[in-house]
Amino acid sequence: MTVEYQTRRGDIRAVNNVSFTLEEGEMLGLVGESGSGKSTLGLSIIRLVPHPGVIVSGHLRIDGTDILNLSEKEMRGIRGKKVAFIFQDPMTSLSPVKKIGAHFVELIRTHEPNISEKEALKRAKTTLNDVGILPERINDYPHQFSGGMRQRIMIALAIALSPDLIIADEPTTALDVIVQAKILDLLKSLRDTYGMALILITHDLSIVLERCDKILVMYGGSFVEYADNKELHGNPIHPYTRGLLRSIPNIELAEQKLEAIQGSPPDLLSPPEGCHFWPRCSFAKKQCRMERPTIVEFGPGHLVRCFKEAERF
Amino acid sequence: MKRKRVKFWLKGFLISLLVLLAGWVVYTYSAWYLMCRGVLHLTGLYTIDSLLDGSIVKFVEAARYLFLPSLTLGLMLSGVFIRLTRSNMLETLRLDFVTAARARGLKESSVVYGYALRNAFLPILTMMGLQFAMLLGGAILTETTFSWPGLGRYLVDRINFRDYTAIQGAVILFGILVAFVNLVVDILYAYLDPRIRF
Ligand SMILES: Nc1ncnc2c1ncn2[C@@H]1O[C@H](COP(=O)(O)OP(=O)(O)OP(=O)(O)O)[C@@H](O)[C@H]1O
Ligand SMILES: [Mg+2]
Repeated sequence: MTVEYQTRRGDIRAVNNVSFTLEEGEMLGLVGESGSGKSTLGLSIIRLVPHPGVIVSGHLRIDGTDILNLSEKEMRGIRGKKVAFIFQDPMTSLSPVKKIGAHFVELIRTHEPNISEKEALKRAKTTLNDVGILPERINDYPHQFSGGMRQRIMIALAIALSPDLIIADEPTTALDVIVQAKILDLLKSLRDTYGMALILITHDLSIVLERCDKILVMYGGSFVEYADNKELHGNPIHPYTRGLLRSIPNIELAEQKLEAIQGSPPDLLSPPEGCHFWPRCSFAKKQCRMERPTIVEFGPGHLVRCFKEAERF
Repeated sequence: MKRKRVKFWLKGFLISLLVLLAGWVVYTYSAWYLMCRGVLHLTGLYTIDSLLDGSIVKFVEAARYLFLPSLTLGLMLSGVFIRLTRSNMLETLRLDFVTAARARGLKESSVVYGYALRNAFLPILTMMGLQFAMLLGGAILTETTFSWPGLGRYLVDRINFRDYTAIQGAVILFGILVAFVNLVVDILYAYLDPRIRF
């Protein structure tokens, strides 16, 4: 999948040839710095990349059908019903002039028109109960809830039609640490009960390490490393992934100095030639500056885009 | 200033158009005298009087006289509202809840009207209240040029006669109307935006 923002100053490749597969019930963590194209990748899965973004090339198969070939109308049938999206800022994700219940009724009746309004409300109440919101509050307006509660409501909206996949784009960045943990655990437990796949987008590797089955690391719009949780934690290959891991505080090694990765992310208007990461990489060699490394399979299901690895074999 | 110029130009344009349309919309000095003949004279509002009189024909007749002045006044103010609606909609369409609504697979029409317009409408409503005063000011000019015996022309006539009591009466009535419309707007505002409660 490749996505570009075609701006007046030039094309920004926000997602450059990133690919992954997700099985039913799996939880994938999508990690990367700010501006690495995580949101863009997430939105492209439901074909809602904001203007001037364009999906330049790629395939996106859900149950074997390539959704990039679907008409806009067919695509609407997928959004909310098969793939649900949870946004970063719960404070602004609900329409302030609509009751909570109205959001649910509209969603349910758009996708299942023969359900009566009463029945839809009843379903909404059960779903609200599932996420820990009192069902009586269904007639309240969004401004009567706190940020954490609103994010629970957004989650309830996402699971209302039991989708196959939920994409959560930094669902907890706007919340405090305790609420953050609760929301993430809620997502995980809902995943366990309903068995849908989940993509958790975040810039915090530690969140992902705690909860996800598989992890995809992105840097400057590019695929960096992809492996399951244990493998990535125990055996990170790419220097960027290692840097990220070293920057997580660790209680057992209290004496250890936290290391930040030097330098700043690339300007995607004119990314460096060769590997995008070389200006910040302590292993960079001449080859890294000249050509772009290809993705190599290091172990079963462990993919890396780095020359360092290719050499080892 | 600009809007006034537009209005005068529009008036000239509409009058020539009217000459072409010949007769459908009536515009003559003496027309309303004919109109008044035989109409019940209770409120002085011809549309209402003709209805009270129970005559649909006379009502249609009265409405025809109103058509052109109303069009002029409405077109004059529509510019403000078109611009305001456009800029508010562009702003609202960028907000998160609009994207979130699209992500739930709602139809584009319910996203645009149910989410974006509902929220973009609040400042437009405020503007409606404020512009009502403009409308009354515009009525004074429009009624004079269309020779319509309305409140606006009454005020101008009385000013020419230095009839202070009548001027006071008209001005107070205008003031009450403006205040009342703005009250209605405020109440509607609380009804449309649940975050506002009095
Ligand atoms: N509307 C747009 N027009 C032009 N460029 C854009 C637009 N939206 C995003 N970009 C660019 O695309 C790149 C990826 O943006 P994206 O929002 O996907 O990053 P992100 O990884 O989600 O970051 P964050 O962690 O801050 O949410 C950025 O470099 C950004 O400059
Ligand atoms: Mg983002």
